[in-house]
Amino acid sequence: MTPTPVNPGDTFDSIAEAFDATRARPWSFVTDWLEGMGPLEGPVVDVGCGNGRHLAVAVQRGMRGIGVDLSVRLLAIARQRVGRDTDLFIGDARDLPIATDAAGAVLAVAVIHHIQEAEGRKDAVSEVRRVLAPGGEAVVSVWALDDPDVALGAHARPMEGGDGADMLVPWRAPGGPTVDRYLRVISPGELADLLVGGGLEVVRSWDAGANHVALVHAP
Amino acid sequence: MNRELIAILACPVCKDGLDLDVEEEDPRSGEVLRGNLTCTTCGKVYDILDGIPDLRPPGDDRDRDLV
Repeated sequence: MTPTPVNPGDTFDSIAEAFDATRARPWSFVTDWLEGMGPLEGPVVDVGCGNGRHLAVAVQRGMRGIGVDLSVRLLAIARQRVGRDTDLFIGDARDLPIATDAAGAVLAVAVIHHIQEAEGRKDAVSEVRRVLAPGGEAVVSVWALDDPDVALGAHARPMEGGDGADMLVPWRAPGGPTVDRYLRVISPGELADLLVGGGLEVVRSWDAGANHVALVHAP
Repeated sequence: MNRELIAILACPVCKDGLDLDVEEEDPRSGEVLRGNLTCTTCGKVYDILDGIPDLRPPGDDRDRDLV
């Protein structure tokens, strides 16, 4: 049977509670970045904020946070985590509903790899650049599925009809159905090309666990 | 949704400003619970439900490309 990938919002709506239970802790590369940050010109915008675990770190540090996600059920979970002073809204990374230059910093953690069309991935990076105030920084990460061990561990398999870098990664919810998540294989070089192509400057890039991470700067 | 957010929100399509129309607010915090946001340029209306604005671009047709 050919699996059918769906809109990431629908995917994550269908697994939100179980997904949240496995994603309670913020990633240390995000925490370290937020903790080392000086005063900002605008809020920290978390694109694809999911259950709000990273937004919560920013809020605990006294920063103003804004979370955007396609999954309304993950946003409902995020609401419990970050409280009512932090604004959350349903939005698409490819067309952010945020004014130009309005963000002091942007997080786009584990989000770009869920966009199937090449043009959409470019749009998402251009949007990070557009909303960032000049001089602002962003952290962008993708799952390192180009590493065969990571791909094997994730049970990733090529999507039928894809170009080989279009993968399906099953989510097995305890007691629930298995849901395929769409994941694009993005190497560190491809990530850098995407970011530079979108007008961002790569300050530093590294691997953290099973993720490729880049710290970028808006000129 | 906090009212001050309007200053940095934009229409996802035109990136222009939005007008806020409040239908229900929290009497204590003033948080907007229900209402809508209208683009000052293209006129597209975005709903606010349970305090969360839905600011996806109209149609979001590209999502169907994922199938």
